[in-house]
Amino acid sequence: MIQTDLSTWLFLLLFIYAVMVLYWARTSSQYNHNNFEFFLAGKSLAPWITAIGVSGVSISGWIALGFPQVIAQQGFGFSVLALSAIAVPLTGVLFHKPIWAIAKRHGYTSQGEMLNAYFGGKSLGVISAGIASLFAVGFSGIQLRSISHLLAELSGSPEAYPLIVWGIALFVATYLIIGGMRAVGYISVLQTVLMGLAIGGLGLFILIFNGGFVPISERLAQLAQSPDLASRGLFEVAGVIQFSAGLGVEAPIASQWTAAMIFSSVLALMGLQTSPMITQLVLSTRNSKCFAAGQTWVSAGFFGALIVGAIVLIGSIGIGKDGNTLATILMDISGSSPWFSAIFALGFLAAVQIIMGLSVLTAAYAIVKDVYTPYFHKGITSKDQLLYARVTMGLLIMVGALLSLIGPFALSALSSIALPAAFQLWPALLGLCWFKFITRQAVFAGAVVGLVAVFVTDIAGINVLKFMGLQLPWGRWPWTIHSAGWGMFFNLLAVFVISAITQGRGHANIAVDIQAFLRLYMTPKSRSRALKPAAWSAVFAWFFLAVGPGVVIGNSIFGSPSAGFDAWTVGLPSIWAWIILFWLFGVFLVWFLSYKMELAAASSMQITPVEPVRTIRIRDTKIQKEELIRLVWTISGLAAVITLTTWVFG
Amino acid sequence: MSPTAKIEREVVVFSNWTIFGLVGLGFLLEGSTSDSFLVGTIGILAIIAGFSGHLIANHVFEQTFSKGEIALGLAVFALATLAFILTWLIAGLSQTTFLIGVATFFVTVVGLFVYLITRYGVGGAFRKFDVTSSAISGSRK
Repeated sequence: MIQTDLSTWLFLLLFIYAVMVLYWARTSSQYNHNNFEFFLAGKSLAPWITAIGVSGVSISGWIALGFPQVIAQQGFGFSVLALSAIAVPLTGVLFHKPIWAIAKRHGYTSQGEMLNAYFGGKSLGVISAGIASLFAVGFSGIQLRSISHLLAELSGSPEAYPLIVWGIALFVATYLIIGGMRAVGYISVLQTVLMGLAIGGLGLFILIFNGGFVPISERLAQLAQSPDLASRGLFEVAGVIQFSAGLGVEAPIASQWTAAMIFSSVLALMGLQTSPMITQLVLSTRNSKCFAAGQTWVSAGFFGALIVGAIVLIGSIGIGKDGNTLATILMDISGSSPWFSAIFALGFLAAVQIIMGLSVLTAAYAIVKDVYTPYFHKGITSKDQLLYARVTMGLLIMVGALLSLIGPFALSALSSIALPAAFQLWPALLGLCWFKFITRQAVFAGAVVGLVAVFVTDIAGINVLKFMGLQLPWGRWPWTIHSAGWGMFFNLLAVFVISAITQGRGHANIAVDIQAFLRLYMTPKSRSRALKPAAWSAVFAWFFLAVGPGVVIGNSIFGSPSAGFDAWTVGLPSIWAWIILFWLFGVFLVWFLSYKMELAAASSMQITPVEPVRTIRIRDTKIQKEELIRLVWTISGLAAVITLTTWVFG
Repeated sequence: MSPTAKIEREVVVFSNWTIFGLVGLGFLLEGSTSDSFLVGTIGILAIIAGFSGHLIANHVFEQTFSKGEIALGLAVFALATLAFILTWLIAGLSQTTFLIGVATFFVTVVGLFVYLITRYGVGGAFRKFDVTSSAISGSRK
């Protein structure tokens, strides 16, 4: 009876949601007259739309669906990652304004194009397209899998799982192919508010259902005293670092969530806002007026509060219980209020679709523009580019859906390297926006070395190499350091050494103009310049105490976890209180950097677009023979890699 | 008003009603099933908040209700009224549910009149409905 009620409400709300989304896709399509408008909304998206969209994509189903379950299984050590609610916006503060300004001045339409233009060559565009594809297939696919399982469980028909996967995939493909970036932008607002409603509402319901916060905290205190759970270190960070060989070879003692693991995982999450997909959304914005407000108040403030409050609360309810935390809670609610349960489920579905839509659109555009066009079909018409990109969107979504159904291990491996891989673009973006001494050779070598390091310290590479007979002496995340951390260590090492060697010959001609422009555009007022040392000291202090080695202070500063509820001075586990405290400091920090240091605040300087360099128009729009041969070889190679991967992961 | 501004206002209006509409509907149903007028009142407040949010969006984007929005609003109101009356007549309603329903309709109608009076003044609001007088004055011209 309960399930029938919930199913009815789910169906009704999904129908209304689908009508609204398709209405926006159709409305958006009426404004799309060419590629530029389809892939970048004609660079006319309102800044507040970007602000909300960026926040939504940064959280998406990854945090909304994934965090509660992992907190329930691995405890409060993992919950410190909730402070990525501050670290992730800090990335946006650092990069979005200069990236947007460069693209506005020089007319760049993708991250790959911008990096290629600044550093010269075509290789960085390929890396960017590859990372975009990882997000479109792996990162989105794993979320598609989670939400489909949740909806199948809630509808009371687990056998409907494949149908739900294909239904969601088809729906996202439809609105993307019809509406392009404009639809993604407009619909992301709707999806983000639905996601916020689901997270906040669910948190509120949990409080009401459990009779307030005190009973929940008392239960947690009892659990913390249970010898079984205490031995798993569920209520604390497991030290600064553990020199264990890594998961699968030598597991860390008690918990893998050491300060080193937390810090390196936060680094991985910081890859989100430098990923090609969020860059694409930033490039589609008409002005930079809401970057500061978006990062400070929407991302760090509002959604940060939801993450450190509601998401951690939802996860904490599942500690010591079996099964899917979210599904269990939603089923419990559906007993008395099926409509609310359906509203929350819809919110989680919207959270997944935010990232699916944007990542697939960006990947398709990057593949066609930064890989297919320069390497295989230089004379392609813009009409064909649009057609091929639409086909690519369909293919990417189809691959993601297929992997959700038949290749969960491959999907899990791909999704696990998407974030650390995106983080490997940091040195390239730092070179573009802030440090002119970083050269092309260094960036390319650093990215390759970094990606290899990510690959061999994460589940994907370890399994592939193991299959080929090479048993690595380490497991996943050795020394309790996430693959993002290992990748960045070797990446930076390569960047510094090679930059030193290749000084003076590592940029394209246009780089000088970009550097001169950014010097003017990003220079703050003299008063702000005086605050610079204080600002960066505060950033380092925050990272050290909130997600670095200092986080272990939070284990017991507000009461020992196992000392009982009365010893918890603020009425909740000490580490949770620490997280909330540093979230508050973090919001202040983001505000300070955005507004006072003017890193994200809109500049009063007018940007005059530079005349594009005239290129000789290629008259023959057909694919050339050499290009065709190259394309066939590349497709064959890709097919071989895919077959091998499928074989490896079974 | 540029087409972009028009479409952006629509995005705001849709998102506004998505939040407040769903919250309002949820709490009205919750109040009805749990037989609590207080819980139902939260739903009514959410609908008032949604209407206020819509007015704020109109003000910020310097626009007024579109014909489509008026039609949709009236249709939803009519359907909700019909459903309420039919349920009352056929299945019967508890006193609390009845009160919640009546309060919702009362607040909606009063809200509409308050909006018209503040937007157009008492006389202007009356003239909005005075079709006969407008028609006569039109024929005199």
